[in-house]
Amino acid sequence: MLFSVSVLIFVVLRLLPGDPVSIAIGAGHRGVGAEELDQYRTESGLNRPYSVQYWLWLTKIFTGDFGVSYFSQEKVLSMIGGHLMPTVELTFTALIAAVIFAFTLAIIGATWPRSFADRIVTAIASLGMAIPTFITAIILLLTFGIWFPILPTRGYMPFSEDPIENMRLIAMPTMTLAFAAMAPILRMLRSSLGDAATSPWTRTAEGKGLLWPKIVRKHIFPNALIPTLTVVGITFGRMLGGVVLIEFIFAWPGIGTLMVDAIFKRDYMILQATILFAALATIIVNFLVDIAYGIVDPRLSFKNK
Amino acid sequence: MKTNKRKITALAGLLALVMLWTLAPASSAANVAGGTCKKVGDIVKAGNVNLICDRVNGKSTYYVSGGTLKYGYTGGGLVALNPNQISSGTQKPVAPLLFDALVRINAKGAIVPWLASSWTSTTDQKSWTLTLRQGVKFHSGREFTNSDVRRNLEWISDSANKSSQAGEIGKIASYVLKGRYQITINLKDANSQFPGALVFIYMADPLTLTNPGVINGTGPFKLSEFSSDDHVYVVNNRSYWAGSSKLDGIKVMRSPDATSALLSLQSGALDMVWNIPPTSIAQVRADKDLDFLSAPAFTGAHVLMLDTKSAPFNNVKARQALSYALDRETIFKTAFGGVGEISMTSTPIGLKDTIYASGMTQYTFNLDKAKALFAEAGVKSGDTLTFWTLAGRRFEWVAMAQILQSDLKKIGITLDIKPQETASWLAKFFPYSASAPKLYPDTIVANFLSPVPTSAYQLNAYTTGGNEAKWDNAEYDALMKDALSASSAAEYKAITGKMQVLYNREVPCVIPLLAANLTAYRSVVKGMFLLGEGTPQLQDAYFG
Repeated sequence: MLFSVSVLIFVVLRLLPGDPVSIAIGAGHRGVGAEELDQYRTESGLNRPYSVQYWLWLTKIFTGDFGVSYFSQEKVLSMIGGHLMPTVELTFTALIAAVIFAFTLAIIGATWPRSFADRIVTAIASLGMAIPTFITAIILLLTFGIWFPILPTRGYMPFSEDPIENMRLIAMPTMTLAFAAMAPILRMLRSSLGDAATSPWTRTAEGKGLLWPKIVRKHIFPNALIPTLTVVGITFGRMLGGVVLIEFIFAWPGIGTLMVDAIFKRDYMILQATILFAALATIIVNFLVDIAYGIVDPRLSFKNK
Repeated sequence: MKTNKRKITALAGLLALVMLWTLAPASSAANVAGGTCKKVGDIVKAGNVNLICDRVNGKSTYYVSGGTLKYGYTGGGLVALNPNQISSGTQKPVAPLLFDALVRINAKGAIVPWLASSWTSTTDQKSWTLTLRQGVKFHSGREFTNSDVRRNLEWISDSANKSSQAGEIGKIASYVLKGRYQITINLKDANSQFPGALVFIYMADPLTLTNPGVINGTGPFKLSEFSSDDHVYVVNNRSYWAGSSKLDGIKVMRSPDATSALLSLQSGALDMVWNIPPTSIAQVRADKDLDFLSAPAFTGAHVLMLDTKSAPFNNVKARQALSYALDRETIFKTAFGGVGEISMTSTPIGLKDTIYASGMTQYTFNLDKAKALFAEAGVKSGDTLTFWTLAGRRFEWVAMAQILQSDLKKIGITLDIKPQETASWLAKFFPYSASAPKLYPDTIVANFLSPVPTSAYQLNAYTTGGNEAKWDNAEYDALMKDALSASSAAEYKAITGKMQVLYNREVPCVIPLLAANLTAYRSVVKGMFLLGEGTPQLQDAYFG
């Protein structure tokens, strides 16, 4: 899987017009012509055959060398290291927030089906799906940054340096990302809970005289969780894409910003490495989701197969 | 049961308090260090005045705190601090904070002495002797001397270093150093405008040029922190030779998205933002606390580059036709929000410039003339031209293209607008190559040129090899050479006047307006100004 991603990204990037050398040198610099650019390309190894470039890159990866940025000349791994923590922090905070809110609202909706509260829950889910993240971000920025200025509008502070400022800074990006991520989880869980609540085993459990809280805990919830976990896994993958925009808007110095810059500048080394890491993260999360299936429903455990 | 309820209520109350505390704006009291200076940057209160602790010559000293300016830049590109290897406009405002140049452009747009206190030239304009200011020190404490000037100029001239400023100083034949404070620079070609060439040539410690980790200049601020393409923090250089800044420091921070950067400006999270789109002009004007930086004269040029080596724009009539088809006034008001200087003559020299040539042909919007000239150049009704522009930024170019599209449609020509991301946009026309020119027929390319903000460099950008329009006009090149050899201001004006007339007739690039990248700021910040091409000068900024 990772090998396919590495080949794909390597090929696609080189099919795009432009290269890092022409961007770095830039137009309008007198005395820089095609010959000079070719010389720089040769120095950077970009004039070698693609197969050689790919092989060199791949073999170096196994030694932990992901190359250097064509622009800052920094090591790619150290650049990713510097940008990884903000993204991990934001993504996981938003995912946890999304799951907590989705679960809470779904349970409220399922407990009082077709009530006013249920309609509100449905409306929230629809809004989360319909409103583009960019609009949510602007609304939040206007609300908490301008009209009721209680939250900072931009920037990042490591938790280890100033936990309070870190929480204040992460609040709006988290709300934006979580709002979008919550919607599909909420919809899936709400409908799964509804299905499970009207299922034959629920009626059997009620007939046996089990108390409703126990029915919810032992029967309805585990059954409704399985499809929801799949959605959580997919949502995480989508969040890795969505976080790019959030980082841009809130000047959050994460992998997303690094990746977008690298796309614009054709900084191949950074792009190849970040996309490879994103693919790896998605694989790991989906693997964790698979493990979680077995925990939620022992019938799906590998031990029982 | 009751006890449990009370416990839950108390816990909920405590949680609410913690949340409120977390969300409340950080108190400045958190920075007050009870009167003892624990570290550099600590603020202590003395009555109503905030004092900041700094260390000068190894001793802790207190200064009246002037606050820290928070400067945001949109886009990206601040990846290095070597001032003589600038690959992005975002690096330009940072360089004069840490480094000084030999000359400087002041708020009135005049070139004034800076690290060089005076200069003279020989009558052939080939040999320039600069006398340096004495007592100037690098941040490291070492004295700045003429050998530093030589090492910087040598480094820039060495093609292996790919210095962006190499083209500005031209070719240097030799250096003669006299004592510690005088240097004579012998040029290979005459250049009467040589001091102007030194505006963006910064004097860095030679170690800075070879080691990106050493940032040592003579500028008004010292480097405190740098994270590539994220932020640069600089702090006051209290021993600055020209008098230290009133600010404690400047935080240059990236705010990639222009919309949210502007909101951060309104909220006070930023004090100024560089490079905001003209679409935001109304928003800034509506806020009484915000303003735009202005330049004494604009020297940056929004240009429509035309391929002078392929049809139809290899025909001068097609280029003139396009000049007439541009409704400059509407474009200026609508696409650019009326900020800048409208150019009716398609020359790179602004009306306010003393060398501006009067009596040139005015390309007043005239679709009939445009249609007739296009027809003479072989562009007929039903033909299609392409407008090559950037996607996701430079929205003003797209707006300009839409106005042009609507006007060309009236004379039967279709304009296909193609926004591209930066690399694809650039790949269309760059690099320049005389032997294997990159052709882009039927295409109009929008670009922004920001040469050194002096007339010589504005005109020099269109000599052979200097522009991607591939215009090579021997007469223009010869006039440029003559202008650089001019022995008096009057002679220089006369020659550059001829160049403007020639350029305006040939229109290798159509220039609808002169402008600068927009910088919005909070009105409480004073003392800043803008160079003609759009680089904000923050060295003398302070909170008023």
